[in-house]
Amino acid sequence: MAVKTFTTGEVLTSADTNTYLANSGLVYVTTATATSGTTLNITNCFSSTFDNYRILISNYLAASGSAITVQLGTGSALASGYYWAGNYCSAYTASPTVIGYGGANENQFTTHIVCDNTNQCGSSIDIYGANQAIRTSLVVGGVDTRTSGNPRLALAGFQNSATQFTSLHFASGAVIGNLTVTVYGYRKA
Amino acid sequence: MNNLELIIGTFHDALTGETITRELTAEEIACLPESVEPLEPE
Repeated sequence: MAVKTFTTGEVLTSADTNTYLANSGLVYVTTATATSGTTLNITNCFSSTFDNYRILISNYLAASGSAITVQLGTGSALASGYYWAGNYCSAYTASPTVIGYGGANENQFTTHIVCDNTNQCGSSIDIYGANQAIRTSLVVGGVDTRTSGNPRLALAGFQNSATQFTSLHFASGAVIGNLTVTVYGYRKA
Repeated sequence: MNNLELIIGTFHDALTGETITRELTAEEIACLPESVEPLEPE
């Protein structure tokens, strides 16, 4: 979609509105919220309409020290293998020790996003090629808002298959108090 | 996953907008990841 510059007095048509305003940039796909249990499963969120997606996690609350994991899937079926990823995080100190974790052929992406039941955290995830017949890769940025915790985190990884995924699944290490996930698609043209 | 409450999941369909909460099936539970201790630097 090209950028159009409107001139003074020009009539804004419905076609221009639909093309240049309604469909610009990130396009909202869906929002899902869990307030109990340990998993949040979003089906039919990936399609051929978009190749790349921005996922926003907000107001995540769960028992202290629980890391959230991400899996891709087709419908309600989880893809439980071939996840390759690396993490790192540091402490809230002037000269922190940065530690990391990596894994190959694991059963999930482990984001190491951490919260507790009173200090909610947020995160953004970019997912590339989710519904294409190529490896799906992702980059995660998140935070630990516990003052006793550690600022987080970066994770980069990929799922080593050419599966055309349609769904996204989150699992918490503890019972979820709140987990809100919003999915946007990057408009292709 | 040794607590019945821990096998409850929320399912949201982006096409229909429908959200339900239900127990996971045995097949779904088998595909769940193991709990992972988060990174905790000194």
